[in-house]
Amino acid sequence: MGGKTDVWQGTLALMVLKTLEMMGPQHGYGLARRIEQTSGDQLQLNYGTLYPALLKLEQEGYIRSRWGSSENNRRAKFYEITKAGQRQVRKATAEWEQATEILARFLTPAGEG
Amino acid sequence: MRVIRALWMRLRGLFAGGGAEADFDAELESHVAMDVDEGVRAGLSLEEARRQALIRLGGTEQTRQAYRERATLPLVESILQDVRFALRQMRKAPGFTVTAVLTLALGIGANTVIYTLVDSILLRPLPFTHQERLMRITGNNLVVSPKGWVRALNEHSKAFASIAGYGPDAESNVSDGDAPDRVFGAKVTVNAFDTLGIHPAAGDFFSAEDDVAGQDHAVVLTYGYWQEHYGGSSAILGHTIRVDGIPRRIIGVMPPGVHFPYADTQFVVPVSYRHDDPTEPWQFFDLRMLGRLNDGIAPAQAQAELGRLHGILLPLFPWQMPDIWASDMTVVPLLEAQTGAMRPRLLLLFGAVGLILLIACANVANLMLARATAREKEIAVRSALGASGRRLVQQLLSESVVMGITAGVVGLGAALLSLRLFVRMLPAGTPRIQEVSLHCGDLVFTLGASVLAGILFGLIPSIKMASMNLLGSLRLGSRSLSGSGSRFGLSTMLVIAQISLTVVVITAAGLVLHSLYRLLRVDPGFRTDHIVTAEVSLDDSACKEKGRCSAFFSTLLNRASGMAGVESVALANFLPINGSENNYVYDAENHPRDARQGALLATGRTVSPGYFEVLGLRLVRGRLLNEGDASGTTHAVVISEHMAQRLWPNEDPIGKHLLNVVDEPIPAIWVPEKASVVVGVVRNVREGSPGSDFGDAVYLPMSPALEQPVMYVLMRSHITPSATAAGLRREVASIDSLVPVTRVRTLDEVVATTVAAPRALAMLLLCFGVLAVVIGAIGVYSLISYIVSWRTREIGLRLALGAQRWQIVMAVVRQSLILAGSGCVAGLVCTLALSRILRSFLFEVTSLDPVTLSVVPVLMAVVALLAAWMPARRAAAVDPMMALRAD
Repeated sequence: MGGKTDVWQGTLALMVLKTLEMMGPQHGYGLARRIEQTSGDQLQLNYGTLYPALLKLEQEGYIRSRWGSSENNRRAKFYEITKAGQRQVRKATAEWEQATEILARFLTPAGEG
Repeated sequence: MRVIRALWMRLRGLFAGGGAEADFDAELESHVAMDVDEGVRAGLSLEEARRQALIRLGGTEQTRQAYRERATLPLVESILQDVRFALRQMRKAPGFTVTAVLTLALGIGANTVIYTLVDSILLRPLPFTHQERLMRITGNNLVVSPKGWVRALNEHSKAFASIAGYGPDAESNVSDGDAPDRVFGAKVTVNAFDTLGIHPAAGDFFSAEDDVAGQDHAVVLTYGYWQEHYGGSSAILGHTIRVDGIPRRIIGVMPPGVHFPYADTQFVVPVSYRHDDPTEPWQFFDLRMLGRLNDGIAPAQAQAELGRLHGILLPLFPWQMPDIWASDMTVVPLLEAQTGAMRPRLLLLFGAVGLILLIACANVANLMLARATAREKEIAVRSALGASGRRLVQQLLSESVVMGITAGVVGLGAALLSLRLFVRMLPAGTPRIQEVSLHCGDLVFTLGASVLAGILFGLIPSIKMASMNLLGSLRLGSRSLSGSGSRFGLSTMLVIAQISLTVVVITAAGLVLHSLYRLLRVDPGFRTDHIVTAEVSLDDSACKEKGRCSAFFSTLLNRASGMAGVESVALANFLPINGSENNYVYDAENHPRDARQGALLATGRTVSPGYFEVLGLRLVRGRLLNEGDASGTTHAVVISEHMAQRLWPNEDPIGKHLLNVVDEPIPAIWVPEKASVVVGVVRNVREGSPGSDFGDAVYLPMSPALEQPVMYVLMRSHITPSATAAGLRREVASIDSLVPVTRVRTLDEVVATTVAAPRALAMLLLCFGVLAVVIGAIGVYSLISYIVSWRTREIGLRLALGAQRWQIVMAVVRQSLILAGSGCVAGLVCTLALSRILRSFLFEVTSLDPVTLSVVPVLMAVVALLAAWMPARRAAAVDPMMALRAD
């Protein structure tokens, strides 16, 4: 597992929101697995840290939750993105793209730009 | 927005209880179960799948902890925890809690009340636009000025945007087609309302045309009068009422909350000028001045400008004024000028209640200290389990802050309930008294005082507790045989400080009380018993008809003399002691003066001949006024002993002349035919208040030239005051049913109102003195009883070794007396240091008053004995066997 990266500070929220936007309502475990899969198993996600992050998003009103039953009939709490959450995804995506672009200019040798 | 929303959710999380946690537990459980399912499906054993699932999760407990921290606010939660703990502790020791909370509540309550008074009366801005720019213009040589002077200053001053004048607070007969009421009103210059920067609640204020004599028949009502008499109806605008017989049109209403120029003013009329007579504006000295400073002008600059204008404008007088007149025009903020006399008194009271709060804090600090010692083991265990010093102090402090706030709530309740009571204790003339109310700021003050008190009394015990030798207390396991000396050192110092503060408060109260006693014992110079006084008022314009006023009053005098139960009757235009503002301006024989000097002043009083008899004013020389003088032909006047002494020391005053110089070019042209002749000298009386010095007094006969529409009746009678008053009303009504009889009081009451302010101060200080003593006594009591309970074993041992019970009692009492003694010494030293502050409140009593300085220590000794009584008895009742066996 040595090749895996820890989740960078502050990016987990965006990953969660984006995943929920793409996949629709998910329970915590499914969300964790999905994030690992999306990263191509490159990310080392401590599942426990997902829950405070979900709580924070819910407090901020970007997602909402309700109890339901999973595909193999277990009771689970499902999270769903809200309108505010979708707006937040667009905003954060734009910010993130801008940040990477700026960073890219530094990292790419000057002549090639 | 999102941040606030999240904060709010977390705050709600604080109080969500167990539901949210159970919910998360279920979620976590389902998470692990799904992970295990997956593992089993991948071929792992159940155990192994579960182990790996938990590793991936990072531990259930850790996850739960992280979740909880996000769900609520950890800092707030720890404080809440402390608060809950504190409340539990308070419930566990109800006796302790009740004592601490009540003493502190008394202190906080008293502070809230006095702060509310200070705030309402001294601090809150007046209800005028930019009220900080409004200034009173006064001076020792300028109490009142003629309207010409006000107008001249208004026109020439550049520092002031405008300067307005207002007349005396006078009662008038106001009638709206029915029998007239006596209503307080005043005249104001037409620019007065603009100067104040207020707008009418209805109608208009005066316009520039209203200041022309003959066109000035307008009146503006106060909001209160409008509401009360006309139900706030704007239909009355334009309606005409009669004010002292003159018809006046109601043109407007002042806004609510404005009491101008006086607290009891109900209406104002304009000051007007007769344009055909250039000397008329300069004749009557009856206006006071206020002005609005221009933006950016300091009061000192304005005052300097007035000083320059004085020399330029003085020659405007149609005659030569003495240079000294108005030479010291002073600019004082209006708020300060209105509250002037009340300020030092309120601040003194504020100081007293501040000390009481300190005393109460010391009390609670001591109780906390005592309890801290009892909780040594609990603290030791906590600290051994890893609680840091900071955390311990935080917990202990939150206990005391919780207690402070509890006391604050109780104290606030007490303040709300007692505020009206305190307001009633203030003298009736207190400025802005009708505006006293508890505002938001006062609540903030209470809250601040409570929290501060909590921190103040919590800091000492908690620091001491947190730094205790805890290992020692754990190891020792139980109380030692005797308390070591230093164990009570801090407590003893607190109690001594407490007693000395108590001594400061009660010494101040004692000094002021003794002053009041002296003041009440002063002989005013006349008899005050069994005299009923009342005001009988004709319309202000009644005397325009020559002889009408004097005819009315001489009829009244005759009829009143015949009333059953009435021994003697007199009339006077001012009641005794109330005439200090009625100046008789005169030149005296053998006292020549040049134009630069002012004329002489005395208190003038127009009286019927019976005045001297009713008041028991003894004749010293010559004769009294008699019926013959009323014709005005004898020009007779009677003067006071003090005046005779001052004017003609070593000469016979009888037959000397005085010349009234009101409305005359100054100095008077000496016309012996117009001068009055001194025919008698009577004993001195005091004017203003019993505390004032004797002044000069002139008694004038009720001659036709001096007839007046308003006179006071003084009746000496041996029946009840109410029966006498009823008789008088009947007699007045039988002459003219439209003449009001008002202000019926006994002369004793009249004199009492002149000492109302010192009396109120003394009574309030007395209340606070009692409060201080009670709280201080509780302090001594709790320390002594704590020491006794701590030393039960020692006492038992002593008794077992042969000590007598009275020796034990003596030891306890001695300890209490030593505390009181040291506190007294410290307190008296403090009082002496503060004596400069007290001096202005004292009358014929120095701050070294032997009576007070000997009563206070005796009182404290008694308090110490009382406080020691219960603990001493408990100590004496100790059973030696029980005490030694008990652990």
